[in-house]
Amino acid sequence: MTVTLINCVHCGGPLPVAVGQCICRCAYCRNPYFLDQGRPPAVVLASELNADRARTAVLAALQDPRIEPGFRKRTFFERATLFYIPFNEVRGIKAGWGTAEPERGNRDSFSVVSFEYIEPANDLSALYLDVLDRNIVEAAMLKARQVPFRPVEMRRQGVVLPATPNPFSNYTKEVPDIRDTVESHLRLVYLPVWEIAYSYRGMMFHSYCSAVDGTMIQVNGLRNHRRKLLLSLLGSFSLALLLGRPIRFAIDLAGRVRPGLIPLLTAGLLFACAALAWALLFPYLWRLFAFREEISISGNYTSSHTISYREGALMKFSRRLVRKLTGESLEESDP
Amino acid sequence: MKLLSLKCPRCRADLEGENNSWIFFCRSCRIGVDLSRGHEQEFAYECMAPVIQRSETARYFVFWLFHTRYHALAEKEQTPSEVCGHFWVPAFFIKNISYFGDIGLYYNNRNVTLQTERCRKLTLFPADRGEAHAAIYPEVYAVKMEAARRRRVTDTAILSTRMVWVPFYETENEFVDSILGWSYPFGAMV
Repeated sequence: MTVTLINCVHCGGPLPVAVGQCICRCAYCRNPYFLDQGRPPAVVLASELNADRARTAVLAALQDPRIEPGFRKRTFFERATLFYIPFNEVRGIKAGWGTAEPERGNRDSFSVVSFEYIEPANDLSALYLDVLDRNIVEAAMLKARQVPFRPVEMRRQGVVLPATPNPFSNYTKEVPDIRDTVESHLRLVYLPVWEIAYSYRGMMFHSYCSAVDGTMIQVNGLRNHRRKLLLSLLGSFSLALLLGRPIRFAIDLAGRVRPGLIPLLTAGLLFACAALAWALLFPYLWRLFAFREEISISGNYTSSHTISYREGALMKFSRRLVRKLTGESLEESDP
Repeated sequence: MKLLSLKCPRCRADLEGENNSWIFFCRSCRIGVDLSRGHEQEFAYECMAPVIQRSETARYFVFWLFHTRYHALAEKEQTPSEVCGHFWVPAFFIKNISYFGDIGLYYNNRNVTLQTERCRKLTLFPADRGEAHAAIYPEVYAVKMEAARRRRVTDTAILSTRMVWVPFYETENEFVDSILGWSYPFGAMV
């Protein structure tokens, strides 16, 4: 790791320079300096949300029906951390002939188009751009234009993540008459993001909220299996209603051919339906009682993965059921 | 990593500028110091007189005015003709030029000429496009203008560069140009 010390040229005092800071002033002799880091200046979007408002936003987001119903009530907030995540903002201009060679004389065929896009500046911002809709980041940047740089706030409150030092630059000349120029000038934009950590029954969860406008980037919680189970039961019931008439017609048809087969066919159909229902419901029941799944919601994108295995959960459940049925007390058996 | 002093090279006063700007100004000496080429480069700035007078508060926006010479060649001609012209290039970024239009291109098409006045005490919009970054635009503008006349552009050269402050009126949610009177929403300005 390389450590660079910057001292004032006049008095030799240390210069307080934050990441992305280009202008600074010596604290002792008050001389102003411009720090040329060989790359374009950085823009730090100011955080408009404090930790309490970020927690409120997370609490509101935990009311999502995809998250377990009791999760929000029994959640205990642990800490809130402000991160500054770097993004590279690339701006360019593209000029060239839009049509083929014979029509080059046409005055409308030549176009000058400006464009801009966001590039990740480190692994985490690349991950964010993969997971997120890019519009969330771009909308946050658009809302926070013309915000003054606050290096003291960055140093005191936030954790600034490092960015790759080499900026993106490109210049292409595809065909002699068709030019595609990308301007190399870009800015490093730091997006402030609140990370809210909270615990639920000994498990830690993290949610991320944009500190610019309170947009929820990612909400983590426990998956609501009961809702899915209920939906599957409703679906199977409606399916049975739909299939009832054809099944009855098939039974009538079989009864006309051989009257002795009716009870046998009915029993077979019932058995097949029960087996199908069990095959459909078993994974949900198993997951409901034996596993915990963490769900990550960011926009319309949802992902879930198993986080813990509740040891002996099925055995405990069956034991409790048996005791309830037999009337034994629950307290004496639990150590 | 270089450490450049933000003192005026003439009067040693503190230079005025934001963190995200490449150009810093000394109002007493009326110069702009451009740091985009890695060293201090002085430009004397001039203030443009507004054509449209309005009651709102105004802000200065910085423009580069490039005096450019190029050769234009028509398809059926053998010898190219030499053309000299002035090109306005904004020293600030404008978002989504395709939607809102490049202000410099509008000025060039309308043949806006420089009419100076005494500088007023107005706040300054950060100028974050240095001369090194703006110098590619005169050629692009020249190609665009000559394409309408069915001519091709060769040998573009910048003869001189000037820095001009243009007042823009600031309304509730947009900036209004004091030369052409066109408005640009805040989201378009960066």
